[in-house]
Amino acid sequence: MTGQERWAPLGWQGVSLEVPEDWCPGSLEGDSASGYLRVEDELRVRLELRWETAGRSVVPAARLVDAYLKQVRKKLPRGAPEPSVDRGRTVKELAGLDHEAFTWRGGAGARKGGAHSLLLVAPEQRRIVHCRLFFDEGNDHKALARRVFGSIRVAPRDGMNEWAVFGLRFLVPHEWRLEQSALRTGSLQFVFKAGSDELDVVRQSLARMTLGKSPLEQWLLGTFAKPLKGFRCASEAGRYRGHEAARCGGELSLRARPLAVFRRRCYATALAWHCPEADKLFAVRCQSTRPDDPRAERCADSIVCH
Amino acid sequence: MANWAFWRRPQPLSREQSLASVPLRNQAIEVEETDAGEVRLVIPLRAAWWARLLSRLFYVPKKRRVVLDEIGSYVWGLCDGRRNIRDIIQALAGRYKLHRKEAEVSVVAYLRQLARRGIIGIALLKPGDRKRAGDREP
Repeated sequence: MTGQERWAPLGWQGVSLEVPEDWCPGSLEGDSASGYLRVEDELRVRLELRWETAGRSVVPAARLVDAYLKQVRKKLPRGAPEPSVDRGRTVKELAGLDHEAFTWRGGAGARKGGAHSLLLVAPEQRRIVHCRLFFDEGNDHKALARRVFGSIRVAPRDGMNEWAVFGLRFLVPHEWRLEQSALRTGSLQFVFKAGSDELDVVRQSLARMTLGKSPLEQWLLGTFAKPLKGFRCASEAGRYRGHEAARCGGELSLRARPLAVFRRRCYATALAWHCPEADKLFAVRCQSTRPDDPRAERCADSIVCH
Repeated sequence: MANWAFWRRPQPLSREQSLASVPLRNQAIEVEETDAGEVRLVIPLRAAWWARLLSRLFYVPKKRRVVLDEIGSYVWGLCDGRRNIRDIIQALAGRYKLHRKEAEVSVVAYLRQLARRGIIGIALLKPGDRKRAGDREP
């Protein structure tokens, strides 16, 4: 496997882990309550992650593993050899959390292989996380599995959840829920919501080409044209972390939305910067009842641009 | 007994096979360079009988010109018959600082579009055939 020496963070819906740099998400489904994430390398599926909300009564991880293996055995085709299961392992880094790591080996012919699995129960977050790392016969990637499982985190750090995909990594307050995401070639966009507050994070590749067509300020206003509609925005050019930047912000215009007079005042702030080292444009927009919401700045500060 | 095997759809390519395949340019296409450094493809059009008939009354162009943008021109330049799709993806990701997956999705979609229009062909090679594909390039 290439790139095993270099690791990249992967974070989605409050679950974060480290994977080899050449692995990337192939499928993302679900929401914070339950979901599925599939990670692939260049040729095949390497890892699957499932999470779901735990019920009111806390079921121990060992019992969940029992149920899971029972299901796996049930789904085996008739006459298939019984998979061998090596159970009862723990991960040092996850001490204090109810978890069980186990390995199953099975299949036949070209499909002979297995998976290292980790089942983790986090009662505080009311979460059950199941991570499976697949391997082929002859190379079970034990050290790799140990490292990946050891890096799994399900609890927010300082009230912030880590989001990391395709090299974009940022922190968002735990209470913000992902409303929508668009993962397109060269353009990643995330929209988070907490009550009536909104937070947008955008990364666009091919910055040099984009800025050849329009300046940064114009790109910022164009990117957030729809959510900034109705706001009396003033924009200005500046610097951010040593990079060329543009900011804009303003209050919701009562002329544009007269019914907003019955609600709390609403403000929007947006920041964009160009990182020439990464040839990328980054933008963060926040809509909040606070004029200068510090959460937007905190999110922008957490983005590693190069 | 009749052999109905030809009814069966061909086996889809594995990921490894598709990444190892080599895009080859259609030799009938002329390549020009624009003032902006972009590639312009001059594609000869095969006229149908009705088009030939119409061309006696109206002007029917015999060639179609397609100008590729900066990235398209770069990928076209990489389709030299020596590089396979994996090499092109790596080159594009390196030049434009894209994630491998981002580059893969766009390169595959772009090459598929070119292949559908007959601008390129895709050679499926066995592991030892890579040099031979390059030899075919004039």
